[in-house]
Amino acid sequence: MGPLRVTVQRGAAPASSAVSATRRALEGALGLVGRHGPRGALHVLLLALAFLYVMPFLWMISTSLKGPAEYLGTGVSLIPDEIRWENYVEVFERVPFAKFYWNTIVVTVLRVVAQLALAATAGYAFARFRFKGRTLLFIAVLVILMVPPPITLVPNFVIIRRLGWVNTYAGLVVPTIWSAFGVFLFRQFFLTLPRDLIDAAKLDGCRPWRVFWHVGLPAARSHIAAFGLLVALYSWNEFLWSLVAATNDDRRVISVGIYLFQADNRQEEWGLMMAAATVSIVPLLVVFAIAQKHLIRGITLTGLKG
Amino acid sequence: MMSAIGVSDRATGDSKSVRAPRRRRDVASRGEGIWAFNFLAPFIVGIAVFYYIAIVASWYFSFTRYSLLRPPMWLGLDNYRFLIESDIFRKALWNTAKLTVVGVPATIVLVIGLGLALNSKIRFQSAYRLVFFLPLVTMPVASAIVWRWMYSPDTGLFDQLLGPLGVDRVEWLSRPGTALWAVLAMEVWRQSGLFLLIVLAGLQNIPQVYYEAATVDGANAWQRFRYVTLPLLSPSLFFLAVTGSIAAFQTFDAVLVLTPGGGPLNSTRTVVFDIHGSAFESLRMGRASAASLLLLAVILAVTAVQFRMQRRWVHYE
Repeated sequence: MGPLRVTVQRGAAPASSAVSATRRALEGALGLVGRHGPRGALHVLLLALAFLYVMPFLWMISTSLKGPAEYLGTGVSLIPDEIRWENYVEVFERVPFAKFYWNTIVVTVLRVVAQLALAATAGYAFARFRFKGRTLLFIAVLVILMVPPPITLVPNFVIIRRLGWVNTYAGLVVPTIWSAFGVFLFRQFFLTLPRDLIDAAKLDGCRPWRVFWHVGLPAARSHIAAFGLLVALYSWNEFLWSLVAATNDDRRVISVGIYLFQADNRQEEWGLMMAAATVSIVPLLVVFAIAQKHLIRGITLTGLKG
Repeated sequence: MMSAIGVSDRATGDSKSVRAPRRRRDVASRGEGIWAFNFLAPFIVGIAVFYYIAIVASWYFSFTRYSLLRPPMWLGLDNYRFLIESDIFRKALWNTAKLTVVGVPATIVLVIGLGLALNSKIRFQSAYRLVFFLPLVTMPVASAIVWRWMYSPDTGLFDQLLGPLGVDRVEWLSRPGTALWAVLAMEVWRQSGLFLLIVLAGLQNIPQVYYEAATVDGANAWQRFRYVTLPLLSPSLFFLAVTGSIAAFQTFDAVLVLTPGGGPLNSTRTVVFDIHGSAFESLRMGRASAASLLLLAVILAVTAVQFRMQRRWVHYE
């Protein structure tokens, strides 16, 4: 073992002395020098993969700033010859993008508030109250985890049509706010609340509602943040339900708006389409950058039930 | 009614002082049924309407011809018979199965590799993580539009990069041989952000002492991976296999954007694409309902099989 390692290092030494100064500087910056040989290979691999992952984003932003002459020409260049901000302006002029934006914000806020209220109260009830049929009801809630949204697409559309909710915020929001996962998440959390805390509040004469409001909810702050962000993420990106529940521009959301914009675009106006795509994903990127920890926690919480 | 609750509250409070050393959770238990009802009623009504009644309604529609404009007309098993005999629906099922059976394991293998690399002590760890998490927060429709542009023949990124390597114009999305794989590649990219997060969380939960013990016992890197990492990561991988398959069975937006008509020779048409098309383009709610229920049956069956098979490979501490 010993001699082998010596030969490896001896073999590596002349090679490293032969590299140019710039390359050594680069390697130094990446922390590859010296005994980090295998790490170096790992870095190269990771860098290549990372490049593959960012490429669609760079390509999108780059195209969004180019004119047709440039993006339909040959040769790959990420930096546009002439930056065309006009693409962004034109998207907002051609389609009611501002309206789509507003609708998406309204729908997302409504979904976050409703989901939090419903999941926290139901989760609290399952964790903290004893009543007949609790187990059975809880199973009935968990069973819906097995039913993905496309399964209920048709009947839910029939229901909102009966209610006169097609092309309304209610129609977009109400069928999408029943998260068994949220109930499960809050139940698990409220089960861990120390009983003494709750009993103390009860003995002080607090009704269950006030115990929930003044003791339960404040304790659940970080779960509220994590789950709320998860709902926002889902809501902003949601497509299938919004596509069928709103058929007029007045109530369309961004995902549907950009889909229709590209589906109706027969002239390969990729500059405009990329500008639209960029604008639609930026808000979530900003949220992600700010609240990365909460969001990641929310998502890893989904893995806990497995 | 409200006063009744107050009385019972006080009553149980009294009984507590009588049975002094009993557990304190008996405090105010009699009114709990009513409170539970208040707390739960909205949610239960919601899932009753939008899940339970919806599925029963869907089940009924599946035996009818229903165009929304006229009341449902009884057809018996015709919708199911039609779907099972239809080449297009069978093709959709087959494509969906391919996306699931190839796409989910491919994504899992990819993120195990990425996860191991990112879990070791390397520089720029957090920068790398940020990059690999990007697809997670990107609107699927938006990324599909970008991928459609990248797949565009001649002018798209892939053809531009492959051109100098001697590969001529490839019409990725309009050839039956490549279209589905193009969709699949995008789906792997898109899902990997979420998968990676779960795998990293799983890796961080593995206690370091196991690795130390294995090293003391003389295990090499491969053995440490095979006998420590993999078994202890298996619950996370099982979770990914189950939820990833359920997600893959719902593939829709990618197909709709990349190949609007369901691809050349229906080569990318998926079940949900078919459901959406029959319901909202042909106004055949009955047939779409039947297809939905068949898909639900497939999802339940696959999930049940996965749960049965977990005994063979999933290791719980």
